[in-house]
Formats: sequence, structure tokens, C-alpha cells
Amino acid sequence: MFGRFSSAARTLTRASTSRVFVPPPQVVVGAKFFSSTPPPVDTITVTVDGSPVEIPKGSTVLHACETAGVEIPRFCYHQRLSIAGNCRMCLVEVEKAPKPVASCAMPAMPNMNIKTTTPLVKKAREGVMEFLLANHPLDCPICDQGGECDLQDQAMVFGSDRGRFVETKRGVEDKELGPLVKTVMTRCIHCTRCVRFAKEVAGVEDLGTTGRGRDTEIGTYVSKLFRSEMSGNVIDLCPVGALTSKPYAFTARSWELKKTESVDVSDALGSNILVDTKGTEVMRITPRLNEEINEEWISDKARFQYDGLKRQRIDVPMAKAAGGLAAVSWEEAFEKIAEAVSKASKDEIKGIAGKLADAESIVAMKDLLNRLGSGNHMCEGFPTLGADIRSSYLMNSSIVGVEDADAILLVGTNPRVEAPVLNARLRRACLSTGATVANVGSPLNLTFPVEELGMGAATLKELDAQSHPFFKTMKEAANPMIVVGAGLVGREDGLALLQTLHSLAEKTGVVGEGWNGFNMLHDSAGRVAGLDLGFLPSESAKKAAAKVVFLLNSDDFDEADVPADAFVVYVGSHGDKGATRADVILPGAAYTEKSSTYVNTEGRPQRTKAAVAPIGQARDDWTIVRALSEVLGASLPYDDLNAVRARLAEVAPHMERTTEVEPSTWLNGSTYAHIPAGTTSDAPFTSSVANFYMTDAVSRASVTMAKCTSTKLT
Amino acid sequence: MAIRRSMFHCAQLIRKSALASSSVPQTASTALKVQSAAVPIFQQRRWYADILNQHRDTPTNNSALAFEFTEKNMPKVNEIISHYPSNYKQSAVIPLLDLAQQQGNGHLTVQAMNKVAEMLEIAPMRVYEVATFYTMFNRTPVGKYHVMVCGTTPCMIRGSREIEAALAAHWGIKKGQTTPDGMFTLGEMECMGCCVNAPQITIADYTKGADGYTYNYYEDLTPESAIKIVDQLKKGETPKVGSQIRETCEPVGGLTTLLEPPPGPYCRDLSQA
Amino acid sequence: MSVSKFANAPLTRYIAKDASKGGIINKIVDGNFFASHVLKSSPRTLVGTDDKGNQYYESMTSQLGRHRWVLYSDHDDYVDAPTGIPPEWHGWINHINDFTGPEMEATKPFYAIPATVTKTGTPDAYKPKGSWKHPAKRSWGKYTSFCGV
Repeated sequence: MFGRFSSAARTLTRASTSRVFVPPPQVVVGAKFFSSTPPPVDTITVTVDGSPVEIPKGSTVLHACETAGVEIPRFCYHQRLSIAGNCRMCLVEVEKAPKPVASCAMPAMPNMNIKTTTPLVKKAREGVMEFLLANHPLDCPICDQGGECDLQDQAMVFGSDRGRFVETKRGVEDKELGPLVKTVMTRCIHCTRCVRFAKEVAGVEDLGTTGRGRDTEIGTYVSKLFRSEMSGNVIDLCPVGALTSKPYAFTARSWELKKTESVDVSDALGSNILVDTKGTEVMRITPRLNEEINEEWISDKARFQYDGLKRQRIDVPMAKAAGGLAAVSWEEAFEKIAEAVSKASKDEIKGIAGKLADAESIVAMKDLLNRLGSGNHMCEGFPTLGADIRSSYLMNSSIVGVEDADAILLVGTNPRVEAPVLNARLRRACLSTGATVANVGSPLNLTFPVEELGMGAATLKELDAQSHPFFKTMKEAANPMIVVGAGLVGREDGLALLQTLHSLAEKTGVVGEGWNGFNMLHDSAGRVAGLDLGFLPSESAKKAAAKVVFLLNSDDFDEADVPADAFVVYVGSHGDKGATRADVILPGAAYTEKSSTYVNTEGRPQRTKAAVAPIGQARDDWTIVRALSEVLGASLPYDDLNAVRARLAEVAPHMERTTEVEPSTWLNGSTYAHIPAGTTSDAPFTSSVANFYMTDAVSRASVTMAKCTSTKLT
Repeated sequence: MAIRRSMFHCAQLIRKSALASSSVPQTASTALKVQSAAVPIFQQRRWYADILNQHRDTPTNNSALAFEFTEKNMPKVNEIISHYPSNYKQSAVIPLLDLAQQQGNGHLTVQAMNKVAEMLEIAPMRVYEVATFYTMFNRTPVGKYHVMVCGTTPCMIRGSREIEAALAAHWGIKKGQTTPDGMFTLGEMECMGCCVNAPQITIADYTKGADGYTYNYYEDLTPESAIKIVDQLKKGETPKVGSQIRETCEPVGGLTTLLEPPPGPYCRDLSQA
Repeated sequence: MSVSKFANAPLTRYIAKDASKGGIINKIVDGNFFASHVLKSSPRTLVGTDDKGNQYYESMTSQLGRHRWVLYSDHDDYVDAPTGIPPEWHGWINHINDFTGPEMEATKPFYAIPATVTKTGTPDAYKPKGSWKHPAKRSWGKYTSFCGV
């Protein structure tokens, strides 16, 4: 009888097992990690259900059980949060212990004999479950957590089919946490995972436990929204249906959804996501575990911008007609483009790659322009700089490496809005290892203490001249780090500033033996791929005035790059700024609809997978460029995705080795040595992201993001 | 079936007789039984808290208002904070909240909690957690005298329920309410460690601010003596603090045991050693 | 109750309305009238009456599990629905506990609002987003396309 229960427990919680078992973090490819060998770990041996297990010293009993492959039910314990030990679901029997012990909070001792399948354990857990269910409403049929609820799963194993409680269930007021998180607080079992997440990871101590005993509530006490850029993660953390997704509410059941492993493009981190679809519709987006990038968090924009995929979509080719844009056939659209291209000379044909442009379409566009004789191609928001040296535009320390830094200088960046998940890592570096963080630029409101050094170039020069006290801090630090924001490279004087920064990096030892702390934090998913592929203007093209401009998913282009008399072709998925400027619009697929390569800010190529089919007549962007090349008389030599990827690997070999970071060489200050020093302006450094919730075409089309903008920014 | 039914009836009978605590015949209506009991057991049980654990803004209690400790109280504040290491300042949260409550005439407002959070450099939510956890922090206004009747077993056995009922009847209010003149709030408290002189009430005196604040026990009460104490307070007199019928907690009728000197062996004389 | 309410109305109208709501005639036809007013008329104990006038009866000589019943005060306005029983009587009528309405009244939190009969089946019923009867029609289109402006 009991053996059956135990195997049932494993079967029922298999879904959560995949989340709970953390694969050992793989060694990040980078010079820093090559030189170090893992330190010898003290281990102890304990017995779990009769079989000996070797675990590191200081592990908990729960960890020992996990190592032995025994699943322990739990609600409050989460491996990325501090241990609370308040749900009591993980009780196990330990020999010689007078009563069952909470395994999540109990350190394992040598030769401990742990038993998880005894009648005592079963009875203890059943008792805990009965108490949890005493006040939990029986509203599973109308609960959005139904089907993916830890309490539901575990009640199938440990729950009784009848209650002994004659009292009434308690009522708890629902809390208003904003437009993203829906609360049904009667379902709350007070595991305090959300409270610990808010305090430890998000750094916004707005959630707490008020009251005591039966009247305990989770909430904010005063009416207050949960002002965090990562607030959506509490939805995943909540083991019951107390915190659920507001946009997703009552739209689908978890078992109806098809899950597609993909990559987020809302910021430059390339967080790993699962795109949940029902039929042809994206129903929601949830994070996917990747220890090297996003652990298991994603930003609110990555999670909730999916409703933007259903609005303002370009589903047919369009061309400018008398009364605005009108739908045309592909042939008509191509003819118009061919006509315009025939009138332009070589360098007058220009391509701009935007925030959401994928590597396949960029390489196709580059090949097409080059075949037409033009070298006039550029990445949006990267106007003046070269990209010959890969280490000059990457996050060289890698995202994981951020946690090793002990002195961090932020220059013209606001990680909280540019990359909230990275901000959580910075916070951890700052709070757990005591890294000093300083900022040059507009004052920041981050989730950890930041020393404000100054507003602009003057401070940077002072640092470079070694006259600023923070220079000493960086010089003395073992692993100093500089984070350069995309807002800085977008400036007119970006080149001069980067020269200063490279000089500072050399002087402070930011790049040293086994450590490269010079990090550029980009603000868009498409940028690094464009730079890797050399999507930058040739010398002759820099002077040319464009007559035909191809906007490849580009909506935030500089007005100066698109002359008023130019014929503009927009290839993209959303009707945004680029489409309204365009003369011809070609419908491209959104990131959930195509299998494409994106390179994140640390230079890690990752591939999205098509979760749904492109809408209407939309096609993969690179196929549009391929078809267009035929009409323009410069046929591209690839006809399927594998051929494009082979071409990608030809241009940039690392694109083939997805999910790995290719180490880049640092040129010891000679990166910008051949370029004469420019002048700098006094304008303060600012982040390139003014509104976290609206940065690209998808998030600008999203209603949820618009609601966030109106409620959270005021 | 018959057996089950008879068992069911037995259980019903046992429960009903316990409920009515009288030997009313089985056929009489339950409603009558409830009325016949002096105080229905059920109504004595408090299932729900009488205060919310979620803040409601009022004109005098909201985050937009400013709260400052008075000049007189600032030395106290600094003294309290000085008791704790500077990196564990948050330990001072309970004494500071208590001081803020005394200054606020027994009412701990949300702006006071915010001020304490600001002084101790912790998130306001951490202060709210503390303030809502402890029932001695009054997050709703109370009267000038907060009268708390002990509700724990020894006092209850010795008649605290009657005292509570007498006070409630005397003022014409219910537990948790304040008299219309704002003088008294009737509350309940759990064991205050005075069981030997049970029953007892505690009166927090907020009439004189944080300086003259007192928190006194009145012990060995009867309904009459409890009413006498609160009437004296109302008139501005000072009732006797502590036991009303004896000086200490020795037996009222004199010692009944340990009357003779304790027998040996005694402690050895250390000077001789 | 209902009789006094319709005392001045023509009897035929009362009977018609009553019948349309499944009233006394239906009760005679389906035997409920006989069961609750004749068969169970004695011995029975009126345990209590709630504020709507529903009467709660108990008979300890009845069959186990059928020894408690309610006579609805009014079979108009959807009162005679199971949700017409207020929460304080819920435990008693369902044999969850032996506490009657007045006894449970004391356990109500101060923020409790008066109980209402379910609106399901009436024009006031809750219409979720996407219901045909919801005034704001839900768009079933998978997406909205860019119109070109």
C-alpha cells in the first residue's frame, strides 16, 4: 500500500521534478573559467531510505533526498530563495530524532539515517495537508492554477477525501498588485515565496506577511502596486492559485497548451522562454531554466508582451497609394521595389537592421545589398562605431561572471530597465559579495545601493586621469567591471567616450589575467548579431545619401538615416514607426513564428523556435529577402533554412555553435588606438530605455504593456 | 443501519447536552436550548479578528501625513536606538513603535510606522509586519484608558468573563468598542502572567502622553471591584494598583503551609570553611 | 408568506404565478407538499427561522440524513433555491455541524455582507467575458491587422 503511494508521489510530481532538479551549472566558456579548477568539496555520507548518498557538507536533508532521487513534497522551499521552513510539507523521519523534521531547513549530518517512506512520514504529511486544506477554498474548477498547482498535485497523494473541520473557511481580501498579477488571497497558504522573492531577488520590499495566526495575510498592508520589473515571476513561484497572471486569466488550461522552447527578444539578454500556444494563438510566455542567462526568472516585458503579437500585425504586403497604405500582392510590392532600386545607384541602397532583426535575415539582407554593389548597411542605434573587435561590443565577463565582480562602474546605463534579470544578478553581486557599484550618468533608482559619481563625460575623464577616488576602488578590486550602456554608444561622441573607457579599463585592470570586465549592455536582441555579421557601413557608404532604404524590423531608426525623399521598404511584423514611414511593407514573422538565430549581449547565439505559424501572408524575414533578390536580379544562393545557416556559419562561425559563448580577444587598448580622439559633449549620460514597458514594436503594440506604462510610471 | 442511527443519535445527544449544558428533554427545540443557556458557548468564541490586517486610509491615518516624534520624546528615541548595534538598528522597531503609540494616545498610525521605518533604515513593510503581528499595537484609535481583560484559562475559571460582561454592561458597549465619551476601550488580552491573582485586568493609561504613560495590573477582581476601578479612573482618582484584596500573592487567609522553620540540612556556613 | 404577499391579488393570478415558478401545484403533483406538510408534519421541531422567513425543521424520528429540512418562505423571486439558505444555516442543513443560524451568527466577520440568492438562471446572472450575453462582445479574431495609418 505504502509503496504504491510513494511511486504515485513521484509520478504526480514529475512535472515539477524537471523544475526542481537543477543540473550542475556548466562551466561558462571564458578565459576566467579556464584557469580555475573546482575546489575540493568536503562530502559527508548519509543514508536515504537505506541507500547511502554522498553529499557536500552543509547540505540540507532535502538536498540529500534529492540527490538520492527521492522527491520530497514542498511548498515554501525554493532553491533560489532563502529557506523559510514554514509549510512543513517536507517532513521526513530521521533516526534518533524525536519527531519528524522539516527536511528543507535541517542540515544533514554525517551518517544520518533518513527515512521518507515510513508510515510516520506519510501520516505527518497528511496532517500538514489537512491543515493546509482547512482554509483553502475548493475552487479548483475556477482557478487558473488548476492543472499546474503544487497543492492540487500533492493533495492527490496526501490529501484526504473528506475534511474533519466543521468551522467555516476564512475569507481574505484580495490585493491589488497592478495590471500583471491577479490575486485571490483566500487560496494563499502562506509559503512566503513571493515575499522572499520580492525581498531577495526583485529588491522591492513591498510584500510582507501581516497579522498572525488564522488572520495572517500576504499583502502590502497599505494600498500599493508591486513596482518591480520582475513581478511576474511570483506567478510561477506561487505554489497555489493565489497569485496568477492577470492577462492570462481564464483564457486557457495548462494541459491544453503546447510548449515551445524559445528565446526572448525583448531585451539583449536572450532569456530562455517557453512559448505556450493553443492552436494558432500564443496564450502565455513562461521562463525556461538557463543557469547561464536568466536562471528561472524573466522580466515582465518578456512575460507579458505577447498580446502585442496579436495587435497591429502586418499580414499582407502593402504599398503607398493615394489614400495611405493599401494591400497589394507580393508581385506588385516587389515590382515597386525593383523600380525604385533600379533608379538608385550602388551605395544609395541602404539597409537598417532593427531591434528584432534575426541573424538569418540580416545575413540575407547583407548579401543582397552587397550583390547590388552597396555597402550601405547599419544597425539601428549603433551609428558611428566600428565592430572589428568583438570584445569591444560584447559583455565579456558573461552574465554569470557579473556575480564575481567586486567593483562595478555603470556608464550611461540603467540595468533595471534595460535588463531586469541582469539587474537581479548585479544586486546579488552587490549584496552577497559586497561589490561596490558606482554610476556615471543620470541618477539611478536601482534595487541596490549605487554611488553616484557624476553625470557625464567630465566625471569619466576625471576617473581616467586617476584623480577620482573611485579609480582607487577599481584599481584595488580583484575583478573590476565596467558596464557600458547602449545609450552611450548611440551618442554623437560615443567613440571618444569609448576611447576614454578603454583607457580607463586598461589603467584599472578591468581586463587582466583570466578576467575581462569590460561589458557592453545592449538594449536590443538584434544588435549583436548585426555587429557579428558586419552589418556596418563601408567607408564609401558613409557619405552616400540613401535613395532606397530597407528597414529590417527597424522602428527606432534615427531620422537622419532615412532621408525624407527616400523610398522606404519595411520588412517586419508590426505596424509601428517604420511601417508608417514605409512606401512598401512586406509582412514578416514575429519572433514566436519563426525559427531564427539571435545573439545576446554576451555573444551567445541562441535559436528561437516557431511556436505558431506566421499570420496571413507573412513569411520568415529571410525568405522575403531571398524572394526579393530574385526580382532585383541578384539571386541569393540559398533556398532553405539550413543553407542560410550554413552561410551564417561562413560569415560568423560561432553562429553555428548555439548556446555557447565564443571567447573574444582583447586588444590591450589598441582597439581605438588608430582613431584620433574626438571631442565630447557635456550632455549627461542617459539610458537608451526611457520606458521599460515599451521598447520595441511588439511591446508598443501590447495592451498589457500600455496598462503597465499608465499605472506603474505615474 | 439501525446501529449507525443509534450511534448518530447518541452523538447528537452528547453534543446537544454539551451545547445547552442543561438537561432539557430531547424533544425540546434546539433554539430554546440555546436561549436557556446563560451565555451560549458559541457566542463566546471569537473566530474572526476584530481588526483588519490591511490598512484603510482615514483622514488622520494615512501615508501622506507626516509623523514626527516630539522634542520630549526624541531623547528617548535616541536612547532606544543606542541600545542596539548600529548594524542591527532594526532591532529597535518594537520599542520605537511602542513609543510612537504612546505619543499617539494609544493609536499607532501608519505614518508613525513609516517614520520608524525611515529612522531604522528598513522597508516600511517590515515595520507593518511587526505592527500587525503584535496585538498590543493598536492600529485603530482607542479610548484614553484601554481596559484589557485577561481571557486565558486561569482568569477565565476565576470569572474574567463575568468581569468583561459587567464592564460591557456598565458602559453599554461590546468588546473591542470604545465608550461614546472616548474614555474607555474594552479589550481582551491573553495571559499576562498574573494567574496567581486571577482574575485581573490591565489598564493602559494614555491620558498623560508618553511621560506619564502607565500600564497597570489590577488583580483579584470581582465584577463590582472592576467597575469601581474604572469609575475611579473616570473621576480622575487613582485606584489601587495590583491585588485589590491583599498585598502580595500569598494566600488571603494567611499561610497554611511552611509555617515552621525549614528543617535541615542547611546551607553550610561558608565563613567557617 | 406568499399568501399574505398576494392576498389582494386575484387568486387565479397567484396560482398562475405560483405554478409558473414551480409552486404549490407542482408541489402537490410531485409529492413534496405531502412529504413536507403531511408526512413530516409530526413530530417535527421548528429549529429556527432565518431573516428571509425560511423555516428550518428537524425530526429526530425521521430517516437518518433526512431529518432536517427547510420550508422556503416564498417560491417567488428565486428564493426557493438551495442558495436561498443563508451561510449561517448552511452547516446545519447539510449536517456539517449542529450549530443553528443564530449560533453561527456570532462567528460572522464584521466585514461580512448579506448573503444573496444565486443569480444563475435569471437575467442578472453573471456573464463572463466572451459570453454571448455579455454586452461587450469579445473579439474572436486571432489578431488585429495593421490598417496602414
